[in-house]
Amino acid sequence: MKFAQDLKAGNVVVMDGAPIVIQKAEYNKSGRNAAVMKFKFRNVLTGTNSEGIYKTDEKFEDIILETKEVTYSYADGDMYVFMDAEYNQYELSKDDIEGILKYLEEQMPCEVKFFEGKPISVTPPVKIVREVIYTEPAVRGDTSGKVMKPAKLPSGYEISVPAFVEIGEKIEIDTRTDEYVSRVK
Amino acid sequence: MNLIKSIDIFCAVVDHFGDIGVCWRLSRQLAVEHKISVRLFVDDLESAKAIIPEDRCGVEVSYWAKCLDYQAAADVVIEAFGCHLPDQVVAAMCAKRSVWIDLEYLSAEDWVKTCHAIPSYHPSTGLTKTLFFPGFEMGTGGVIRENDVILYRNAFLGDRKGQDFWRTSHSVPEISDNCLDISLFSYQTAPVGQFIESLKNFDQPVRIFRPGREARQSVERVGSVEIYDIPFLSQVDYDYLLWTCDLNFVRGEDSFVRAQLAGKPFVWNIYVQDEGAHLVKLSAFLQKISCFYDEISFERLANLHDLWNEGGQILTKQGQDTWVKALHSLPGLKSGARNWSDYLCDQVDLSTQLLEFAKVQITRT
Repeated sequence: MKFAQDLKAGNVVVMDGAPIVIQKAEYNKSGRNAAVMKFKFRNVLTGTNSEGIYKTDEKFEDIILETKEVTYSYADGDMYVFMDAEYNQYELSKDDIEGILKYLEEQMPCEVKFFEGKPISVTPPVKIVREVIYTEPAVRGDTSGKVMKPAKLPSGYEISVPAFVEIGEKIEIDTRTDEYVSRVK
Repeated sequence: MNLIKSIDIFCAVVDHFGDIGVCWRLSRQLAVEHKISVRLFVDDLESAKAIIPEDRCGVEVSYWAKCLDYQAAADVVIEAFGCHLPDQVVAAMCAKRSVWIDLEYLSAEDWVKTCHAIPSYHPSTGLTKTLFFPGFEMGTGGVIRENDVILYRNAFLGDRKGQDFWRTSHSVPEISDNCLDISLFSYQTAPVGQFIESLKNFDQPVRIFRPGREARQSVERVGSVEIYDIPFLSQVDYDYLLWTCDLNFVRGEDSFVRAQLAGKPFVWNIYVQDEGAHLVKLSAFLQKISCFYDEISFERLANLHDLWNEGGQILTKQGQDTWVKALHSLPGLKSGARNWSDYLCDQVDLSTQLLEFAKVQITRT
C-alpha cells in the first residue's frame, strides 16, 4: 500500500480491480498542515481517463510492474518514442506521459512500465537539472531564499524558485513534487 | 421532491472551537432552512457545549464514542475536515450508498477551484468520496451564510437602542460616537500586548472587547485604552458584537467568515502552518479582496495583516505608523469591507451548493 502523497506520475495502482496509471499528480497544502493530491488517471484496460482528489493520507494498493531503463528519443505527432539499450523502441501517447512532458528532453533517461507486454507509463529520474530560460530579476537585498518567484524552463513550464535565481542558471528539481531543490554550478 | 432527507455530520474537536463552530453552524442551517433531518456526531461534547445552544433547532447532537452505535447511515454523510470516519460508519454508508462528502478548509488559493467537488473513487471502499472546498468565488463551495443574516444585520445596525440593549446585557458598554470600539479574538501568535501598548496614546479613546474570557467587573486600563473581558458568546451574539464594533480582529475560519459578512473592517489572524503555508493562504486572500478597496486603504490593510501574522514589531516607529495610518483609514476600510461583504452575499451559500451537489450524486446512483 502507498499513501496518496507518495504516488507520482507513472505509478500504477488498483482501483475497482483495474490497473490505473497515474498520469499527473499535483500536491496542494490545505488547512491545519493537511494536504490534498489531485490525480489524473488512465484505466489501462479501457483507456478511459478520470480525475480524483484525495487527502494525502489516503491509502492505495500499488502494483509492481515490469520496467525497463530507456532514454527519450523523439516525438512523432502525439506519440513519444523511447529506446532501450538494445535499440528497441516503445511508443507512448501524449496522454500517457502528460505528467512528465514538462521535463522531457532528448536522451533523458527514464523508466518505462509495462502491463501485459504493453508500455503504459514513463517515470522520470527523481532529480533532474534544467536551465532557467526566463525569470524576473531579484529584488535587491533579498537573499533569504524564502521569497519565491516563477522561473520558466526550456519546455515552457514554470516552477517556483528562490528570488536569487537568475536567467541562465541551472537548477535541480525534484520531479516527485515539482519543487526547486538547489542551484547547480 | 426532496431527494435528501437526512444528513449526518461527523466532527472531531481538534483544538479551539473552529471545527465545531463550522459544523454546528452548517448543521443548524441545514435543519432550519432546508428542513433536513440532521445528526451531528461530536467526539468532545464538553467542548461542543460552548458552541451548541440548549435549543438545538431540531439538530440531533450525539457523542461520537469509540464504540458508536451507528446502524443506518443518512442520505449524505459529511466528514468534516478529514476527521476519518469509523469503519462501522463506512460499512453502513456502503449499504445505503450514501453520498460521502469531506468538507475541507476554506482557502482563497486558485488551486481550490481545480479540486472542488470532484467525485473520486475511494480506493478501499468502492464508494465515491468528494472533497468539498469552501471558497470565495464561483467554482468553489462558497461560505456558510444563513438566508436572513444580512437582513438581520442591517435591521440591527439601524436600531441604536437595540444595539445598546444588546451590549449592556452582554457586559459591553453602550455605543459612544467618541470611542473606537474593537473586538479582539486571536491566537496566541498575534502580538496582542504590543498592539494594546501601541494604542495607549492614540488620539481617540479606544475600547477593546475580548470575548471568551471570564467576565470581569473591573475594566483594565492602559493609557486611553479600556479593555473589557466578556464571556464566551454564542454564534448569534458574536455576530452582534462584530456588527457593533468599528474594527474586528478575528481568527481561524468561522469568526473570519462572520467578520466578512459583518461588512466592518477586519484583521485576520490565520492558523499558523508548517513552512509558512499560512502566509501563502493569507496572501491569496488579500489578493482576492484587493479590488474591493481603494488603493491606499488596501495597502494599509495588507500592512496591518503582515504585522498581525508575521510577528511584526508593532512598537517600532514603522509598526506604530502602520497602526495609526490604518486606524485613520477606517472609513476607506469600512467601504472596502462592505463592498466585499456585498460581493460574498451575491455568491450561492455553502449549504445550498452542498445540497445541489449531493442531489446530483444521488440522482446518478
